[in-house]
Amino acid sequence: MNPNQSRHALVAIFVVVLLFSSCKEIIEYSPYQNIVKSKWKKQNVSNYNKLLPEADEDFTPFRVGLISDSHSYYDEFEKQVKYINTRSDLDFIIHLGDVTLSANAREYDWYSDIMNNINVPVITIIGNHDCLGNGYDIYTEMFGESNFFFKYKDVKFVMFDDIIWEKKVTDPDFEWFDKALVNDSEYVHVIPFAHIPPWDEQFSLGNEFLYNQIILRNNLNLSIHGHGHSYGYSQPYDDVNYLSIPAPIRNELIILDIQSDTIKHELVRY
Amino acid sequence: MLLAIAPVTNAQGDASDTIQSELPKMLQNAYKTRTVVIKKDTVTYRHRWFIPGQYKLQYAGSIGFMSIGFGFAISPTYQPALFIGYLSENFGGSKNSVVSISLKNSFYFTKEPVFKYFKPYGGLSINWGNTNNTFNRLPDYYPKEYYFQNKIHFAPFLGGELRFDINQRYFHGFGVYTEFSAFDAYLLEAIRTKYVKPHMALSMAVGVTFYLR
Repeated sequence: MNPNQSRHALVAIFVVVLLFSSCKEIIEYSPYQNIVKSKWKKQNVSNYNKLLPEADEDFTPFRVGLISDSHSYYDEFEKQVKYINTRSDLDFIIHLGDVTLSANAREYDWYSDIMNNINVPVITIIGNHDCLGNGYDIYTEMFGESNFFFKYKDVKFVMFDDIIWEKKVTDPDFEWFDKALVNDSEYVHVIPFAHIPPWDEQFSLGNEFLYNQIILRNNLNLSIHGHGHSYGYSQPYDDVNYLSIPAPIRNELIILDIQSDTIKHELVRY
Repeated sequence: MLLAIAPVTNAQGDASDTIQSELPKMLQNAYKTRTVVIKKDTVTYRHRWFIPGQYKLQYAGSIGFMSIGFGFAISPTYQPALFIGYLSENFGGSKNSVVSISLKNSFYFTKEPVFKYFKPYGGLSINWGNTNNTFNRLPDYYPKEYYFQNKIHFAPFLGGELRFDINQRYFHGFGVYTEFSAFDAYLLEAIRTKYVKPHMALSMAVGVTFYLR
């Protein structure tokens, strides 16, 4: 290589390095990669911490916004976020799962990017789509444990990971769920949330029966789910009320109105 | 098999007699032309057709933290390469490791370099991702067409290479390339949503190519 060529080669390498260092966002090692930005690690934990110290206070009525299945409805999700931000009555938001379509790395990033524009903290539950590829592990890095519960103003919120097919298991961890639902601290309410409702085809007949039995034996009468993309409020097994949360494409927001003696919900069209 | 009967003067024909005499013995043997008589036809072919003429080392580009590629100059414009890429916690910082195999079909837009060194190209890459929970066919317990397969993805790409001649025993040239590819699932979101802008579907790769004599 003559000196002229080596000069050109050096310039080329310099330009490439400069280009690379100036646009980190454009670097992806694999769509299946599990590399979560430090600002987006364990967001369920950091978002819960934002609810403190109010979370430890004694019960006073409060309202929570419920959203779900935002995967691939990015524009509609942005619209929903915009609407949520016009309200000042919501203490926090719960996303009922399916934040991605195929659990690809950038889909998780896009969800976090939009979700963080909501001006109250968001707690995110795992959905079946979120478990494809390395999705389950990305979820635990980005949000935390997939089975968890937390306390807010003497109300216990129990978030149950009931994904079966995508996690290649036969049963969800019903033992954990049963224990988590116990009212062990004189909670005013205990409210279970899970992405998939028990009547879905992922549940065997036994699992469907067991889910409802666990709710009943803990003396609860409300279970909240996503997955169906549309609003629903029904009593398929008589005593327990099942609330289904719509996807952003419906232009609806469900508001949970938690009072000392009852839990009401309201569907708002925007 | 098509390559096996490619005549001596095929696109890899950068090995003139004078160069061949200077080549290391190993490559001289590999380059030696051979003949085979099929019925009454004599077919002359280059024995080394299967030895890749291009060796690539790539950083990023959605097929691994680093990947190595083996390329063939089928014609001056069509030059595919097979890449094997790897990503893991210690090699790229991903908590899950991924092995990618990628067939990159590159088509050069010009036969001769533009501005003496620059060769722009584009094409379609077929990427096969091996990690947890990827599948070609859905396990039986899913209803029909519940999910689309997530193991094989397509990624169109555009790139450019700066190619330089070198006078080296085994290699006659090297190139530095940069390319931008768009993973099909991201591209689809960029097309159907306003939120995902076209640049958000792009993935950049940088790499070097060494051209065997």
